[in-house]
Formats: sequence, structure tokens, C-alpha cells
Amino acid sequence: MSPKLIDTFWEFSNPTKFKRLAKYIIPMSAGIAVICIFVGLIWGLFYTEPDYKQMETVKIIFLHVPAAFIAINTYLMMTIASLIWLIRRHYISLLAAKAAAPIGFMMTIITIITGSLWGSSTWGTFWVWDPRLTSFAILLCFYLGYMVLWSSLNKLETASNVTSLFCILGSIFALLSRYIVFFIDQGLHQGPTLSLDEEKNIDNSYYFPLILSLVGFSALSIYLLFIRTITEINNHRISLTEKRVGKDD
Amino acid sequence: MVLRSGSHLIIAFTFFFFFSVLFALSTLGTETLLNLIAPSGIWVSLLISVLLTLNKIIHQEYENGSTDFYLLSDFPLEIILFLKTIIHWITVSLPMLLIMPFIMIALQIDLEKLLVLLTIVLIGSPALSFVGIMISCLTLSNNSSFLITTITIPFYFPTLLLGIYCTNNTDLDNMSLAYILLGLNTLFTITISPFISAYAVKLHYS
Repeated sequence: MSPKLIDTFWEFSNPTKFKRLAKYIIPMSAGIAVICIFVGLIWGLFYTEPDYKQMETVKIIFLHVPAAFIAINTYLMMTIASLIWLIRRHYISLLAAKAAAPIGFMMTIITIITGSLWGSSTWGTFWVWDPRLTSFAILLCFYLGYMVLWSSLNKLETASNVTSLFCILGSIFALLSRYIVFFIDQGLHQGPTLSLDEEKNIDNSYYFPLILSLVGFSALSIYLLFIRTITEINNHRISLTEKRVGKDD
Repeated sequence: MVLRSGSHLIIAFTFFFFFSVLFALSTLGTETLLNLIAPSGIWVSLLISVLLTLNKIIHQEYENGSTDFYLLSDFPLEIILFLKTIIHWITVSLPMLLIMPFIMIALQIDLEKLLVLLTIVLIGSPALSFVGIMISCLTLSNNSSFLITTITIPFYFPTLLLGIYCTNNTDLDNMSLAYILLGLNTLFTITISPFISAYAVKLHYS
């Protein structure tokens, strides 16, 4: 990264500048999200051949995989944002982490629901304690713990420090449990089929709609993230103002 | 001081006993089921009992102001917290390890397996104390054991998963890697716990 880009990044710790950026990002990401999800899902659901074995149910992949992708990467994003808060006291980054938690939580729920619907028709059961399902249950626990911690501490200063530390530790322990779960059992899921390595990829007719819907979901989460971050900023300003007014009285 | 205010020890002890009895009674009428889940039952009861004592260690001192003096003194906070965690393990987990053989016999565990199971719990249980203290330091300003329990349980997954895996498969041959991993997990938590908890305590004073 060039030094200039880093400087611009730190500039966004100023809420006003961040809002100015958000004014461009929000409509753009919303547009990308609508177009990509619409095209990706329509293409995926109606213009691809059904699988020879799983028939039409295989098309859940267009919801399941992007949601799982966002669920995991949101936690990663929260970890990085918390680190930035603890090191540089980058104020927006903290509020972004706080805003991201419910998005990741919902994406985890969507993954689990679509996954269990898919599993019910292909594996014959809604839920098994397969490694990936277990990892997602654990991820859900960490999201819940993070949100519970935010809501239970009153002082903003302590709450922000503590939740950031929780998030960073959580990512370490979630990774640990994930590898332990995979060490214990290999599971029912198929191996990775989306990678940069061309030969391992799934068939092209599935590949392109899947990528489109991945991009769409990412744009959707960016859109939600920005909106929620701005809400958090406004909330914080309101509470600060209330405090100041209270002191004057 | 922890020993002197020993009430939490008795509570944890009783709770461990009750929880084991509950576990045994929940399988009433099916002896084979008890055989299958007894080792996991030991782990879960130990975990719950440890969880309930966590808010007695550091929170009381934060409220009565002892932590202020720790911070003011030249002695490193990390060492104090490390010693406190060791004391927590000695006062909570060790007594349970002592009565565990009797509970294991009551839970229909074979006598040959008993020593192996005890060793596994001995290896794994320090991780429970160390992780618990580390996470309970995060919630110093809120002394509710409900909150601590909620946010600590996710961090117990690595220990619990490995521990239950080890205890359930004692008759397999190639388990040495799992034992080593359990030991490594404990060592890892011992290594990071004092530093993280000291950092967390200092965050409350910043």
C-alpha cells in the first residue's frame, strides 16, 4: 500500500469525512448488490441444468455458499477492525465492528437454515454434528457472545475496549476449535470447489452465477455495514449530546 | 484470601456432585447410555462448576479495590494473575479431581479406565481455569455470573472438544496425538492467559 492510501484510510476516523465517503459507497454497493444478486439468482435458479443426482436442490448453493462466505469474513473484518481500534483508537473502526456483528449473525443463521434445508433432501437429516456444521454453531456462539457483551456493559469506553479484546480472542479460539473439530472428524461435506486453481473448480455453468451471487452478497453486506455504521455514529453522537446537556443542567 | 472466603468452594463442590447425579439420573433405566455419556458428563459438570466460581476470583478484588493496589505496586500484574489462576485451579478443580474417582465409579466407568480418565482431566482442567480467568477479566465492571457464563462458554470449546474426544476414545490405539494436543492446548492457554488478563484489567483503568 502506498503511504498516501494509508493516510486516506486514517482520515476516515473523522465521522464527517466518513459520511462523505458513505454517500458514494452506499448507492454504489446497493446498485451492485441488487444487480448481482438478481442476475446471479435468476441465472442460477432458472437457467442452469439441475444436478444429475441432487436434482433441483443443488441450487441452494447460490444462497448457501455466499452467506457462509460473508458470515466468516464478517468475523474476520470485525477482528481487524477491533485490532485497529485497540492500536490506533480509530473510532469509526470500532463502531463498524459493532455494526457488523448482527450482519454476520444473520448470515450465519441464513447459512444454517439453507444448509439444513439442503441437508434434509440430500443427507436425509436437517442437522448432523459434522465438522463444518459444528464450526458454524461455534461461530454463532461467538457472535452471540460479542453482542451480549456489548449490550451488558454500560460505560462506552470499557465496553469498546473489552468487546474488541473479546473479538480478537474469539477469532483465535474459533480457529482453534475449528481445527480441533476437523482433527476429530472429517465429515460429510465435499472438499473445496471454489478456488483460484482452475482444475478444481465446479462446472462453469455453476461457477459464474455463483461468483455473481458472491459478489452480490459482498456488496449487500458492505451496503448494510455502511448504513449500520452511520446509525451507530449518529447514536453515539446523540448519547454524547445528551450527556453534555445533562451536565449543563 | 481465596481459601479464607471458601464458600464458593463448597458451592462448586456441591454443584459438581449434583450435576453428576443429574447426569446419571437422566439416563435412568438405560445402563448402556450411561456407559456412553459418563465421561462427557464428568467434563460438563466440571466445566459448569468452574464457570460458577469465576466471578468470585477477580471481581471481588476489583470491587473492594485490591486491584488498584496491585496496579500501584511494582510487582507485575501478570504474575499476580498467574498465581491467582493457579490458586483457583487448586481450590476448585483439584478437590473435584479428588472426589472424581468415586463419582466415576458411581457413573459405571470401568476401574481400568479410571486412571487414564483422571490423567486426561488432570491435563485438561488447568485450561478451564486459565481461559475462565482470562475471559472473566473482560467483564470486571459487571459482576453477574450469568454474563460471565454466557461469554466464557464459546472459549471453552477447544478444551471441551479435545477433552471429551480423549475421554470417549480411551480404548483406541492411536490416541497419543490427541493427548498431546490436549496438553498443548493447556500450555497455550497458560502462556497467553496472564498477559491477556493483565491487559484486560489495565483496559478497565484506562
